[in-house]
Amino acid sequence: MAIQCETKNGVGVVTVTGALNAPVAESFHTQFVAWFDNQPGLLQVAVDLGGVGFIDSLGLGALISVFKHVAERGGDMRLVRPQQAVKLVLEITRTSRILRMFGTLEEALRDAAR
Amino acid sequence: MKELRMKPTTAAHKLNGDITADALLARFQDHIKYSRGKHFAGATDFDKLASLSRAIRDLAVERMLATQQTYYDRDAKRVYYLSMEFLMGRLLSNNVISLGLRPVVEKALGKLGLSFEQLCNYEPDAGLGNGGLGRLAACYLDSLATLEYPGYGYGIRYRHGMFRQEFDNGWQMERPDDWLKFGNPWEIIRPEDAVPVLVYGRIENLPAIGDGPPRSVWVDWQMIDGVPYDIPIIGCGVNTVNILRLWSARAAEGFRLDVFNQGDYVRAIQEKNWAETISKVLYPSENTHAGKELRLIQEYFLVACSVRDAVRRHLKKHESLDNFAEKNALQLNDTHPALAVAELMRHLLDEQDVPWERSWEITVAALGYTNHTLLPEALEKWPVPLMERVLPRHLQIIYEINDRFLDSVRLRYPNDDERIRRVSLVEEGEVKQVRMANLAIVGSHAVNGVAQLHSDLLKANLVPEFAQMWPERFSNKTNGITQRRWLLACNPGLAALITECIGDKWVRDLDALRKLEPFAEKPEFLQRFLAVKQANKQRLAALIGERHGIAVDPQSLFDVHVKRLHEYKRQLLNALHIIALYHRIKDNPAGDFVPRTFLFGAKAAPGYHMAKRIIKFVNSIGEVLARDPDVRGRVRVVFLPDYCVSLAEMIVPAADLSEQISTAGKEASGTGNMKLALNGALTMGTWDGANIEIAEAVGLDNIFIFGHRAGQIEAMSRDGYRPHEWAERDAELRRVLASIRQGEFSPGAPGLFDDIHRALVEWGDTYFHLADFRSYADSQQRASDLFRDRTTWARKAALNVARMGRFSSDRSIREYAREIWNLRPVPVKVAAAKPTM
Repeated sequence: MAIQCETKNGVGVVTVTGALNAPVAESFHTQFVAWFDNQPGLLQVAVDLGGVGFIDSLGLGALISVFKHVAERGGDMRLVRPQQAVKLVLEITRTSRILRMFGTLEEALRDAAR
Repeated sequence: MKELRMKPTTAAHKLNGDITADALLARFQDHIKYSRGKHFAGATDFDKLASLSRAIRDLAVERMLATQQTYYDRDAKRVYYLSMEFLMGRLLSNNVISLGLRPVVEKALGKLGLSFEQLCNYEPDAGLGNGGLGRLAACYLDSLATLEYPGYGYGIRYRHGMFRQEFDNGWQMERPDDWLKFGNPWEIIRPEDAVPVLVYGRIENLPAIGDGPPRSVWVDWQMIDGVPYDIPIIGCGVNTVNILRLWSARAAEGFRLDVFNQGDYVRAIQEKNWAETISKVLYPSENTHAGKELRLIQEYFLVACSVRDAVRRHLKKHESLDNFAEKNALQLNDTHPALAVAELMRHLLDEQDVPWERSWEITVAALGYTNHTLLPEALEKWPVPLMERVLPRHLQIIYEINDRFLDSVRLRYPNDDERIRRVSLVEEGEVKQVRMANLAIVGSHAVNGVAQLHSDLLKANLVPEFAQMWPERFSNKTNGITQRRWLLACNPGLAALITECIGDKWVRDLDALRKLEPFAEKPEFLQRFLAVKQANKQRLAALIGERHGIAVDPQSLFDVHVKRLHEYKRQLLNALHIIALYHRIKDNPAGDFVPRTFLFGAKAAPGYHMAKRIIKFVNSIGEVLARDPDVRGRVRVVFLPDYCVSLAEMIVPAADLSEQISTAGKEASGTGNMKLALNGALTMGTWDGANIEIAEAVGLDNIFIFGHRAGQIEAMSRDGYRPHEWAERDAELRRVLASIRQGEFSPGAPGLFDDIHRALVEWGDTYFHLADFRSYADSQQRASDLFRDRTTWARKAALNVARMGRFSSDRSIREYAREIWNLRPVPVKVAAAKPTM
């Protein structure tokens, strides 16, 4: 798993590649929180899951945990381009009802800018 | 006598052309070489079987693709038959017959000096079921395809099917059934259609954002992948080839390489092993307590995979699930897949964002439920704590369904707490339980029993409150059997005789057998009818001799009792009669007795101790009788081990007398009764299940019906049944019971069958053996007397065959299609193809 964090048009863009699963869930959480805490005032985050082929419950737990961290600041988080297998998991678990999904990063950024 | 050659319809041959024996041979040899990687000279029997199966499958696959394309193009309504069991048996012989290729196959194999029949015998049974319910599912698939209905079977690809039964000193021993040891040439794996299934975990509530409602997510779950394996289901004489899709469980993530690299090899594959356990073994009994959690997961696994697959197929053609029920029917074969109610609701609510009310409308309109038992102990209930642990989201949905349902009941029946208690989806008690039958009834638009008596009792006794609320939901669909397997394939001699007399219309329209009635008055026909039976008996006798070293007399009356071992099916009553007969012989060794061979075939659930003791009891009686010179040549008792579909296909055509002697009101329908009567056995039956309808059909002169009726049994239960009083009134019965107590059939092990004696005399004789004994023994005497006059016997047997038309699964499926599924046939047309070679 690799995680890349940047800011575009005032929106935090976190790109994740590889499996988001048990061995890396904690690392994902740690890296995300460390980056986010260094971005004071950042309220909108888009997590690009296009490179994530697999997610397990610890990976999803990490995703929800970082969402709660963002929400505590009053912010919101979006998910971008989840692959079919990941999208299914997000739908089954109802995560998709909390973290809205977008087909492209541009759509997510536009939504965040509203 | 000429062998029946099924004339394939013109349409059936268009796709593949009139394949010649040479062309088929070439395909067969190609598969030996390219699929098995061998030269013919080095090919094993299984290589040959697999290669022939593959060659036949190739032909079916072309039609399967055309069938699926037709369904898609025509946006056909489909039915999905969800069943935890599919007792398919062997496929090669039936598939060859369905394709109309038997003569071609025999000719092709003949060129290599191979026997088709012998190759068929190498095929392991796909024994993915316990008994009638699973075999019914298999018959229904055959009828769906033959009648050109868009139908799919959904089941589990158990790595080990029903256990292999062996006897050790007369006791049942269970061995694993390794039916996939050499692979399954019929299946096509579809890893690309694998679906995720989530179990365990909890629902976590998240804080509301802004003014929005509080939200929740399902967390800490475990994920399994359901991998589909497709088996083509070939319609007979038509182009339709439907699909049986069996799901196999595998770990969603393979194994943990990170853990493996740390040297913890056991933990690395722990998850993988756990996932694979889910489709590892078919549970031999729904009554077992062991592995309850695994069984619940299995049931959910089937439902989750199947519902997702049906939804996926629907969404290929439609933009939403709003018209899902117009285009799809899901039939629940018993309560095992009843979680489909909650799962389809979950799909609609959570994944498709459909509001509750509309989701409920769609779910109820799509689902139908078939009840298969009136036995209270077989009605599934799942403890709430278990369901909460395994399926937390589904339990929420079930609670919500229950709340709304009970509100509606309260409105309709105010102040009726007792009614509320009885219809609730959740049974109160020390441990709350979810009642799966109630869930299935509330969540389905149609509920049916499987024989008229059963459907009546279902409404009157089992769920009267539901029947009162929704009378329009309840109906009867009497079970049926496919004549393609249970006459055409298993009894070629009789099939050929019938076809010679009345043509082969009966293969696709069993009512046509009526035309056989006048032949039952013709002595020449009856002689040939008897000759066919005799040949079948000799075939079975040879098999028994070959496999078990037991000589049975094919001239004797073959009295057949084959079915699951359960006390309500009363194999024990049969045993009591055998003992009585034994005593009569001992009292009069010079007497003139009609020689009988009592043939038993039955598996007992491994945890069902009384059932296993009854097997031992029958085997012990057999041993005692076999040793007694007074009995020799008169009575033989043989308990054939490992009763399965392929063994049934040998036994059924050879039977003279069919034992269908369950306690009235206990057997839902039975289908063995139909198979045996269709093959010219006379029924010795109680007023139970489909026996009643068989009696109506064949006429009371042509069946031996005995014993108390369901109402009388119920009255005895209510008013106090005292079995010892029945024994006191009947000297022969008293002697039978005394001989059991005195250890006559357990020499060297006194007391071995004390529990059987106690169950009958002291513990209330739950299944009314003693009350029905006299009537049964007298009926058996009438059967013996009649058997002395073979021509009269044959006439009655032939009339049975002629009048069994209504018991075809084709009739059952047409009724389901018309009255429950609203399904129409979709004929598959194919472009004319050039003949191959």
